[in-house]
Amino acid sequence: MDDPVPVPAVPDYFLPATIAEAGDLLARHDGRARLLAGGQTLIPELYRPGGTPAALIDLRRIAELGRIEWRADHVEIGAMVTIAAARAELARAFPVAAPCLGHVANSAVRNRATLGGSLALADPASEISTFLLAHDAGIILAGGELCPVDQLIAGCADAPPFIRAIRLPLPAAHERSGFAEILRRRSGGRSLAMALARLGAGRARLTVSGGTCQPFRIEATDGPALLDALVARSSAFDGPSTRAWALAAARRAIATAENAAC
Amino acid sequence: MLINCTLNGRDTAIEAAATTRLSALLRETLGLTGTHVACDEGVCGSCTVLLDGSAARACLTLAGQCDGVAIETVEGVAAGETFETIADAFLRHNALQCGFCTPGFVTTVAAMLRDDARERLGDAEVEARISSVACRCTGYLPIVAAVRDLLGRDR
Ligand SMILES: Cc1cc2nc3c(=O)[nH]c(=O)nc-3n(C[C@H](O)[C@H](O)[C@H](O)COP(=O)(O)OP(=O)(O)OC[C@H]3O[C@@H](n4cnc5c(N)ncnc54)[C@H](O)[C@@H]3O)c2cc1C
Ligand code: FES
Ligand code: FES
Repeated sequence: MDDPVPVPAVPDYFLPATIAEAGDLLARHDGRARLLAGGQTLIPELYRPGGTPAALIDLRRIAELGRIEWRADHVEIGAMVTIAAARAELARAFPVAAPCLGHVANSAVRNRATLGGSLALADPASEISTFLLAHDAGIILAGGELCPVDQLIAGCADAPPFIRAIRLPLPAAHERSGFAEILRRRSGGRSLAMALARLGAGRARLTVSGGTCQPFRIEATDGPALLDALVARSSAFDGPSTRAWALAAARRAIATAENAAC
Repeated sequence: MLINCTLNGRDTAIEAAATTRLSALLRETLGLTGTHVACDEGVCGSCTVLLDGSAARACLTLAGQCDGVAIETVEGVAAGETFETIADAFLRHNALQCGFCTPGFVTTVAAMLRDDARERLGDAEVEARISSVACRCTGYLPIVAAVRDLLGRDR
């Protein structure tokens, strides 16, 4: 057990106190600096060959990025809010947050991983993307621009922009919702497919992702119509098994929503 | 980089490269080898420590992220008052065999007991936190029994 521990070449480490300062540092390093949020994905990356950036910009001292602000019709969540904190804080207004975000990683990783870091990764199997897309989230960038979440996810494939906060419209009080995820093992691991259903008066919505397919939304009048619409869209998925998992997740999410108390 | 932190209750200043993993810092520099390392990817949980009171992976924490933070390792928990109760429950329920995973469970359970005292944790949350640490020996049932016993709940 005495292997020498390799430490990556030490990049400069910055702890800016404001968004403007962080933005300046990013610009000054001309693409060779990385933002550090919870580090739950970035840290192993630093230790891979060639993974070391010239600088790390740790966002944790920027108070504004850690805030959750409730408004009359929406909530604004800072990019540095952890998944654990978001799950707890959103539980009452978004009953589906607890089961959905509870599927992310494990409880210790959720204590550190942030919403901003998760979004920037734009992993199709991320529950965060599905949750945010299902709730029509808008993403507020460092400069204040508002970008719909699907557009942000598509853009993150190249270079993720600096994310400041997430703007989530509050669901109607009578809405029923359900989340389901298909896993290879009960204890977790990567999702095969997932679905989030929102059922309101005369309006049913489903957000589904599976395999390498990023989450997408479907709208219909009720649960059964959602399933028909999903079948019609199923060529979006990589192959027959992902199609089957996605349908299974959708059926379960809709059933959970149908059963949910308002 | 000089890291000013509280380590197991004592104010400590440690000189380390900002990108050193906390797990390596604890084990190699500070000789605190109770924090075990297996996967270095956040999966197994044997490196779990408490950062400002919450369970976190030491392998997924950089030294630079610890400046101003209270770190509690399994050695710190072992010196505290709840440890005897935890150890007693684990022994009574045979909740360890080889013991490799045990430090990760001890820190995870210590945080769970404190959180539960503040606000009762649901059964699903208790189960989720137990499954955040991997044990290859026990098959989990004895660990679940020990934890439920510690929390004063039925089997
Ligand atoms: C064991 C394990 C299991 C996991 N399982 C799941 C899972 O089931 N589902 C899931 O969704 N995720 C999962 N994850 C991913 C986990 O949620 C991510 O590690 C996390 O989402 C990344 O967040 P972070 O705050 O740690 O970001 P970091 O690791 O710090 O950063 C990730 C990336 O985002 C960039 N970034 C960070 N903040 C910002 C910002 N504000 N603006 C722009 N870019 C930014 C960084 O530069 C970096 O490129 C798992 C991770 C681990 C370790
Ligand atoms: S060594 Fe840290 S989680 Fe496995
Ligand atoms: S007792 Fe051996 S891994 Fe848990």
